[in-house]
Amino acid sequence: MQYGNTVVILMVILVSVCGLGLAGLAVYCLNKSVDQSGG
Amino acid sequence: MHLIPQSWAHWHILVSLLPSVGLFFALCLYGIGIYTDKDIIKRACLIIFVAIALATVPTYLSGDYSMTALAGNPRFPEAMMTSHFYWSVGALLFMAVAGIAAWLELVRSWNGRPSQNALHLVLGLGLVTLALMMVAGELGWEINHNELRLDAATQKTSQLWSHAHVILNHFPTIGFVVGLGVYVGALILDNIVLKRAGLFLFVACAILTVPTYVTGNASMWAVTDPPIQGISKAVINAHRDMALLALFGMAFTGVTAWIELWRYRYLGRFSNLSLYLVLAFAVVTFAILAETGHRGGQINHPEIVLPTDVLPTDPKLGWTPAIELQINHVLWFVPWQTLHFFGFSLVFGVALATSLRVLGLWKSMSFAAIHRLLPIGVFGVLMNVFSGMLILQADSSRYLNQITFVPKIIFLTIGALAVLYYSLSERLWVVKAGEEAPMGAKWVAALVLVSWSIVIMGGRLLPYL
Repeated sequence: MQYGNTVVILMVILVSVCGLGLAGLAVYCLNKSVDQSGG
Repeated sequence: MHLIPQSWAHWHILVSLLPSVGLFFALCLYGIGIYTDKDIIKRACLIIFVAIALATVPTYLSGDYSMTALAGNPRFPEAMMTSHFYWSVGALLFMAVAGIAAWLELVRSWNGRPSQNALHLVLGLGLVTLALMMVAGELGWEINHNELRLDAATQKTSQLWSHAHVILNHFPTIGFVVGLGVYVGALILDNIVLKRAGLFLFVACAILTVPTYVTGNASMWAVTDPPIQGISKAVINAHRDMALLALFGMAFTGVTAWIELWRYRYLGRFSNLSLYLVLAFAVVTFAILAETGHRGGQINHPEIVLPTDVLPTDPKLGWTPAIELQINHVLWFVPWQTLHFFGFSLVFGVALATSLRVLGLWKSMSFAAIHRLLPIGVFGVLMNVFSGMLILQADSSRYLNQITFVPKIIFLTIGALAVLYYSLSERLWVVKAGEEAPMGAKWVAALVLVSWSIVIMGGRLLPYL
């Protein structure tokens, strides 16, 4: 049971990091693309 | 499968959507064109009105031939078909007059500006036509959809969901067709205003896909539990598989289109690469939508199914039933639910910050500065569309019948459309540091805050009521 909980926690961390990481990367790239224009 | 219709009834189901749902989108765009005083949008809409008026001819003919073909079939009551016919003739006549007025104004003002009187005449005729089309459309849908007339007391899931889905599903699809037409026209003419209009339509259709998908899920329960003779769960699942793909396709197209609208604010021009990427997404999504609609039509339209059609018979086949099984496991449900909560935090945080600036707080910042935050909220929405639709599959029958689910979905749609206003409004964009936002924008800001609060409260209450 303890092992099961650990797997769930790891999955929560994995999905959250992937989802938020992708969103963060996209926001970073978008901001950079408009910054370079001097806008 | 036969995507090309091979019966009059099938033709009628397809072409009749242009003068009804197509007219709705054309009128919305026309209203925006008149409000913002953009001649190119007004002209584009006059052309669309002429095209819709021309579509009344195949709509009338296919409807007339369908009545002859279906006469005597006990599934299609004669009185209901006659009632639908008379209302439709009235609506089509008004549409024809609106189309002629639009064409005359187009010709008259080819080298000048369209006249205000003529534009408002076309608008009035269009609105009367739309009202008549709503009655005719409703009567038309009721002819075939016997499930809408079932005794409500015997239903576990209300047939209002089926009714809503029968109507709603046409909006993202036909709106997308109108959007694709405007967008391709804009690329050919290389016109910035039309490009923005096309991108806006893609985003609006992507937002409308969410309530469409949700009502579709609920309709599945309404027509399968208790079962209705002639409706197969296997055929529904084939439709659901494609609908899930359509949802993701619309989400990608909508977000890519929105990103280009957002970038345009800072760059003052569109990137050709991005514009053609949106077009590629839109074309693929359109193909998926066509197949989704086709599979949806096979669920409850025996009159268009051919003897040679091979329909699915195993309700366990497909990836939607597989997702339903998988997502019920805590190992999959909890991580997606956590991501869903992160998504709402992003959406609400950005909606709150932006709306408070519009309402008058932090006036030391220009609206352009706060506008920078919007992508964070949009990616939050995207995360929630993915995670929310997966979570929904875990126990859709229970979620959809909760009292807070309907307001959650209604206000999610309103809130997302209201946020779209922040991306497009010219008057807001020029609000500098120290300046007040226009009063209209403040009302929109209040609507955004109320809407997203109800969405969060509605969602949080789902497991407990």
